[in-house]
Amino acid sequence: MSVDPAAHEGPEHLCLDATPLIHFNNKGHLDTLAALVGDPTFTPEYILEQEIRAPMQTGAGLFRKNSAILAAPWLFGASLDDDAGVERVARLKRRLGGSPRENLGEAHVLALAERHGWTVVMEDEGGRLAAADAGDGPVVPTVYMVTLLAVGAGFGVISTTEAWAVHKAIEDERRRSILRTERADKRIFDRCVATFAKLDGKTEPWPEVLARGRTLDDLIVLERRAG
Amino acid sequence: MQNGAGEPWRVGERGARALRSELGLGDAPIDIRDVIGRRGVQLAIQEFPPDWGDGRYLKKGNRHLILLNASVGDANRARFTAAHELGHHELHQDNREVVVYIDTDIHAQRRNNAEREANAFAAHLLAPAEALRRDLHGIPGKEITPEKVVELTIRYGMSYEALVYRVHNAGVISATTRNRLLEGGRGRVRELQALFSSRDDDAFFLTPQLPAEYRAAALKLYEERYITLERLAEMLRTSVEEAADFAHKVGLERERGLEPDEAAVAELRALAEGNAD
Repeated sequence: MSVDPAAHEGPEHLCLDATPLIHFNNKGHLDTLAALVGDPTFTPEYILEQEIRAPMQTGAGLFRKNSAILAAPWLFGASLDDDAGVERVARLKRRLGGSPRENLGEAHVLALAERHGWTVVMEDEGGRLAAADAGDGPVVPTVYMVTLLAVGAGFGVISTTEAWAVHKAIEDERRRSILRTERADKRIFDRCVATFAKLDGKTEPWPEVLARGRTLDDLIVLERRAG
Repeated sequence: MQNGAGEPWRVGERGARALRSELGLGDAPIDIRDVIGRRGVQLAIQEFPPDWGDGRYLKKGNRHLILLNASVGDANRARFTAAHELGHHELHQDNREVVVYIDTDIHAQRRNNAEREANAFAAHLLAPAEALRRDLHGIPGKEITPEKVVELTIRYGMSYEALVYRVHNAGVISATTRNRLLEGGRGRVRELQALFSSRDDDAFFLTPQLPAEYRAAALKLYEERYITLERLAEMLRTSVEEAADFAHKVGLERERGLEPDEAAVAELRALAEGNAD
């Protein structure tokens, strides 16, 4: 079943980069991701084909799990087939650099989010910088995976316990988040969740609140700096 | 008893004395890394094949690099090579845009004056004659033991043989004592070194090190988000996890490319607390 992205425009709709899809899934938490992001949620067709399906078809170890992502009923592929869309992807790819295929997923995510006004869940730093750069197309709101989890817990979409468990499972392997997984980090996470909980009812509803983007990330960063 | 004499030896000694004087080092043992850094020279250590040799000194314009091979010899040898290459930097500057000195065997008999000068410079810089005389003052030559020499090798960061030759060339011991100490130390140096604690910088000289300026530039690119963590890892010749840990340790958190917008966060907090306008 396909869904027309044009019928689901606006910041209350999320577009996922490959990283959250792969890491939530690899740790067995695709259901948690589904609960957080809602239906429909989008990701570029490029990511589904090149970063999810193609590795899976190699039959190698962990990639076999990717079938769960392809089967997720709430996740829909979107693409930009017109000239303007292709050109925008190409420009973003040029900005993000890397080898010919590197960063193409991020370029597609950002181009799609620009066009449809979506909020993006993305870890890639180059991609996030491009998303925040008003001088290079519209600003695209982005949040980290840990922010998605903490705000989701604050707004009661999932429990704080579940949110931390997922963050810990992913971050213990990735070790690249703005928040680590030590005991002190857990206290910081809890404080952030408490602050986000106070926003519930006073600001945009879930998941539209995520369109506040990096301000939500920054709250976690500043809370961490406060120790 | 000033052995090793000759013009190259004097040139090297004068250069080392001048540098020690300029940097206010007196005749105390030095950290050669610090001295190299204070002269505006970058120091890098990489694992090259043994036939690559001991080290290189490279100058391009106003940029200077000492490159050492971590695969050759031990920390003492690497330290001496570092001092030798610094000797090229101090003694052999000219107006050429690009200068390269290749040292495949730092301890080989050198006919080339520049190499002999650099060796003399290194020996004087690492272990000044005055300091050695003071260290061995009142000890008759025949009573100087290999243990005492090993103690000095650790103080000055030189190999056993280099130190024995150094005290001889500095006129502190006779050729007879030199030969006795060389014979007495043969095959025993490691055993004797175990009696003393090693130098703090030994591990440094045996571990690949990128130039500090290069590392700082890579981190700056990462901080400003021109490169990803993966590219940073590639540039630092390490794993992504280690690059992340490195950035973390130097207080470089990934969000600093886009500094947190404190005003926006304060506004959000105010909204959460119900204090918003």
